[in-house]
Amino acid sequence: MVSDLPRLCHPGRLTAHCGGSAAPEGAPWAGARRAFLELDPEAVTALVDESALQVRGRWSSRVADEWRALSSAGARPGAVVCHGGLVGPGSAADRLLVERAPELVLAGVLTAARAIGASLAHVCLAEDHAAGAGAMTAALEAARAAGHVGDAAFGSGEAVAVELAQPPAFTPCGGGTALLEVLAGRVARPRPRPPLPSARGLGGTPTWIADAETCAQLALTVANGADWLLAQGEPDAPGTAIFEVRGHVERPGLYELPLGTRLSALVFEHAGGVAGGRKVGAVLPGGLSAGALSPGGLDVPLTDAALREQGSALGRGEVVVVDDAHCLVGTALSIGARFRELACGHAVHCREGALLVREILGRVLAGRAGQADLVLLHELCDEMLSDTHCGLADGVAPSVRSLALLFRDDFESHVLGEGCGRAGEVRLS
Amino acid sequence: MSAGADPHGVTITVDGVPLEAVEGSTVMECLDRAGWLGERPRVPSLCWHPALAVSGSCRLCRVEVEGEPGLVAACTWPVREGMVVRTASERVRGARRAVLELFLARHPDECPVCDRNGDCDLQSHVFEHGPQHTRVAVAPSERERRVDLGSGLSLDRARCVLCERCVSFCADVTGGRELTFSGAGEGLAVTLADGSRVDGAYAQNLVELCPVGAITRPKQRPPERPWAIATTPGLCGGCARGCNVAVETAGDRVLRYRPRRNDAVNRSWLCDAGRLGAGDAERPDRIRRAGLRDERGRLVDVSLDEAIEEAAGRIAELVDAKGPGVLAGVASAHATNEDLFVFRRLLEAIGTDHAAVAVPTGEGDALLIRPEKAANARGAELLGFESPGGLLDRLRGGGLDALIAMGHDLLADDLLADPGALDRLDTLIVIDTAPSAMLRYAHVVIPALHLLEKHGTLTNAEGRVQRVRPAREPDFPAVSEGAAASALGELLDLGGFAARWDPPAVSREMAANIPAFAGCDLEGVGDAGRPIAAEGRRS
Repeated sequence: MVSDLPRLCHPGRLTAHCGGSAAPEGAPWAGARRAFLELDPEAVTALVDESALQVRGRWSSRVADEWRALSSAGARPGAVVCHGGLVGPGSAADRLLVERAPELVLAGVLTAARAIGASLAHVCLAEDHAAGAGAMTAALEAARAAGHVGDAAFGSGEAVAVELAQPPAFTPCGGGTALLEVLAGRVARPRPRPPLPSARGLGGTPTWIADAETCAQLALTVANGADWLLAQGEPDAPGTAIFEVRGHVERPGLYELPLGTRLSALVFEHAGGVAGGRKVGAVLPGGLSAGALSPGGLDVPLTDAALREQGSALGRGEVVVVDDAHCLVGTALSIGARFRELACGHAVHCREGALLVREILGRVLAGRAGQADLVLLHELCDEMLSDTHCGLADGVAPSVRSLALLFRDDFESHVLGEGCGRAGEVRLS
Repeated sequence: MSAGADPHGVTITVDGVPLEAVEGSTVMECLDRAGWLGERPRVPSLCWHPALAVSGSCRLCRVEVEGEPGLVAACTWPVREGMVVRTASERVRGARRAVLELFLARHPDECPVCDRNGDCDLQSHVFEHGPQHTRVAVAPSERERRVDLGSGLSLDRARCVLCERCVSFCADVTGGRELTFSGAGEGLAVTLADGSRVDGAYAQNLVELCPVGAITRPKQRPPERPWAIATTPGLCGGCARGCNVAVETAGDRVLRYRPRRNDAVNRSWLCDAGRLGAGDAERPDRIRRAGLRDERGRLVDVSLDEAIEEAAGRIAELVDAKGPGVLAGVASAHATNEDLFVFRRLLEAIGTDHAAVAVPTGEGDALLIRPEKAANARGAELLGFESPGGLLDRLRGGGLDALIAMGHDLLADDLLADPGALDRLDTLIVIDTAPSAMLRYAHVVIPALHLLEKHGTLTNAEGRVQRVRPAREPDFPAVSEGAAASALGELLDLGGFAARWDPPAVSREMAANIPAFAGCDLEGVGDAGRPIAAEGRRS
């Protein structure tokens, strides 16, 4: 099987299950088995609550709180939907887990189904992720044969069916509603919220949507106990996360590190610093959809709360490093171009807004823009940020806006027609 | 704040005005219910439509809700007791301006050649809410400009604002699923589903559904500039659904029917066949002159008064000689309740019980189209006109000497199947808008007004009484069937028949005398119509 995954440069407790030299802690199915045979749903939820496990990408949200919201929605929760790395920022960690530790992901899916009382789960992989589909199909067949999945999961009285879905490649935009649309046989596009999927999701029932990494963390947490998760990371951000470092570093790749690790440590120690001995130009610690940090602002712990204080966010664990040889207007334009590949285009901000942002950045870069265009750029970013229809349109705005604010001189130099003298666009995808 | 009398009602405040809303509904639905989304909508939108699933994609309807940090989309936001909504704050207006600027960035600047110029939601919203100028124009996309959708419809993808209405209509209203989306991002486009073409009985609704000039009929450009078109609320006469239409006219020319929203009857739709009815009043072969049969068997032109006087004379003579039982009346299911009420009274006053109506029938469907192919089949039945079997038997058996036939071709569809039966009649009075085979046997011909030229009411198949108003005037003397009956009654001195035709007065009289029509006179039924009284309903 051909895989285009970034290299796993620094395994941790989770990625040890992805086939490295280190012996993994616990068998992949242990957590799910425990959830079905030793604990009742309330006890599973209580354990996860104690561990303070957070949802990747929705860091302010704890898994146990989301489950409780589901059961208070009035209807019996119907489904767990796990997305195993569709496309877009931060999807490499999920794809790694789906390819190399599919049992662990499935175990987490089953554990969640047990906790919320759902009898159906969907694991969604990108249409073109052949390696992932192969691995997940094999794992699912083995799990069915072993009786982990099916009419009596792990020999308990509970039935859980798991289906594999391969929607066309797109981001899980609209808070997962686009994914639900596809699963219901409709066009992949975000649906208006409210109602939230947690209240009315798949088949109209409360649905929990999470990524593969969260599911895998969940499986190990239930297997090993809340203290195991809390033993690493920060009290309000426990455990580890898989960071995908890309851009101009010596060793781009995947790094599993405790949450709270300093961004500077990730970039300079783990990833070997900026390639070619150059200096940092800017870092986007939350990937393309979060605010940028200037070279002086990297001594910050990698938690969502700490990064938000700096005007950024943790996002889905994608860290983009741009060196000082590259133009930051060009960087912003590259971000815009990346979003062009990701946007579904159904909402006007996502479709026309992102287009206009690119148009203006292109003019700035080419020295064809005036001050009024910079004003318009900020207004556009503000407008895109003000709307919460989808979560993707407001993805391109924070990074572009923060680059334009932090590196005002770069932008101005282009407006004045001189240009910054540095290389233009950055390769991001 | 109390929830009021309705246990499922909540009260919200919009721009300082308390509005009643249904629990579980959205802010937009509440504004719609209050009538705030009409001509100049309080909250603009391109994608929201009262009869379609919520799309939420245009982001124009965002408003301020007290307690919410950001603006919320009125089309998706659920109402809550005591909620305070602001639709015109500086923040809301700024967001509208910004979103419209986004829509305009790539929209082709070709309003003068667009079918929807002056009748375009995007244009109206920009006029109303700005921006005043475009700060950054992007080259219009090279999306396909002329996609043949079928049914004479064409899609211009450069003008399309991707509101999803057309896709939603095909998926949820007609169920044909002919349209879907292709591509993504700025390349997102409405497209025909694999191997499909838009067809079916409702395709033309897509033109009105489109908020801009993206879906048009290239071979049927607008007949006039929007501001030169007058609109009269009317009803489609094509079947017994009674779809509400806006009759568009320029002078006495009827240009077209467009669906007029009535959630209790036709939502916002009109079938394609119904639209063809717009040309009906101007058909070239309309009966334009009253006529009398002379001794040599030719129909000669006379004045309307002469024809009615001749008809009255013949009836009087015949009834004197042979008694009223030899006279029968056959009514048109296309006539108004008022016409039929007076005609029925005339027959009663003359003393005959032979009062029938023949309703043309055809195919129906589950959405709008009814099998009864006349607008007032139900009204005729409620007003005492029976199915024509017995009358036709008498006619064939020679048991009748005189027949007053309103707008009916008894020779069509093999109804009578025996022209000789008409030939044997001593008197055949035909009151109609268009010629039929019966004219050959008629002794008196009276030109009738078309439904588009009348005041009155119609009762649809579900028992809803709805109003029609004249949208044009014929350029020749003609009378409604009821006016002819009333004049005959007056000339025959039968008592209680007015020489002058006064539809509101007749309507009131009908409502007072026929229990099913209580409260349903033409001034009482309002714009949305009114269901007949309970005792008149079918069990």
